[in-house]
Amino acid sequence: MSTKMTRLVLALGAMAAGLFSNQAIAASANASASAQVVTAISISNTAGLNFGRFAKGTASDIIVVSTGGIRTNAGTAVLQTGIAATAAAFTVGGDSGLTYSATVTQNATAALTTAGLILSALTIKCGSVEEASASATKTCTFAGVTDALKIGGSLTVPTTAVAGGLISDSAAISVSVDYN
Amino acid sequence: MTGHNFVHRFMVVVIASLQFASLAHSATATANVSAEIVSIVQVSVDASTQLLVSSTTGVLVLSIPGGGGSAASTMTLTASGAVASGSPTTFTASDSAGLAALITQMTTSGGTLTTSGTLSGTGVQIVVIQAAAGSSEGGTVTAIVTYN
Repeated sequence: MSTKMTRLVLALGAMAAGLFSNQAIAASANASASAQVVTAISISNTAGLNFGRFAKGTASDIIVVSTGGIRTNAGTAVLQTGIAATAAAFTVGGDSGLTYSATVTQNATAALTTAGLILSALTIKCGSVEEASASATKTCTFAGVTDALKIGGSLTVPTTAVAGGLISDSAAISVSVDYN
Repeated sequence: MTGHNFVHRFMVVVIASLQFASLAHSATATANVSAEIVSIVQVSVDASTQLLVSSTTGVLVLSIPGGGGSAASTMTLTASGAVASGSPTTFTASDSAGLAALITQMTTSGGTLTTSGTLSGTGVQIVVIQAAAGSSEGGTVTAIVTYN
């Protein structure tokens, strides 16, 4: 083999070695991109918490309206039927199957306070379980695209309560919802 | 062969998982709380009158505080008592506080009088039920007033 031929073989060998080396150290892989688009959560109020009409008793009493709208009292206050008692009701909109947190906050109740009434012990229900949760957060799950949220509460009626017209405090209860 | 062809090249695997949840867009709504306190219904009897225990006319005085609540509280007034064996006991009534129309709605049924209507405003209102017994049969009258 001539010198010229030898150099050519060596050059080709070097190129091949370089090529093979380059392929052995490079790495590549695919990446996946995924996304879940969910409906923006929403909430609207459809009913207020109404303790109905009653006459105060001879001793302090507590009137309770459950999340099912059932009104009870254990004391001497006399419950009347002219105004239907209702639990506060909200409709929450979102995506089926997702869970969300509902936070209940009791705001100022100037009118109730003026009449001597004390709102306390709010209860919350989404799904099938009622939970006592004054200013608390409850985890709920959308069974469909909407969920029903109910708020009940207790109203202390002392003997000093003042009879008068319909007492109403707007925005006395706030409910905030957010996806978990 | 250039040098950069021999540099180690790595492609970083990145899984981009995006969730367009409205975490920053929580929603809030409010509800009102309401109640209505009405005055306690008080029923008193004119102690000087022996109602329905003699053939003389008796007077039952009902002291009914007004609704004290909404402008028009409804009221049901029920008076029940023994019916004389002779001619049926009749009831007439008048009022001193604008309840005449209410009382005239009364109907007699087996000795029970029931009426319902509207009590407006506040304060004590007096209803007088005059019982003109048709015989000397005794009995009692119970007046029940409830707000609806």
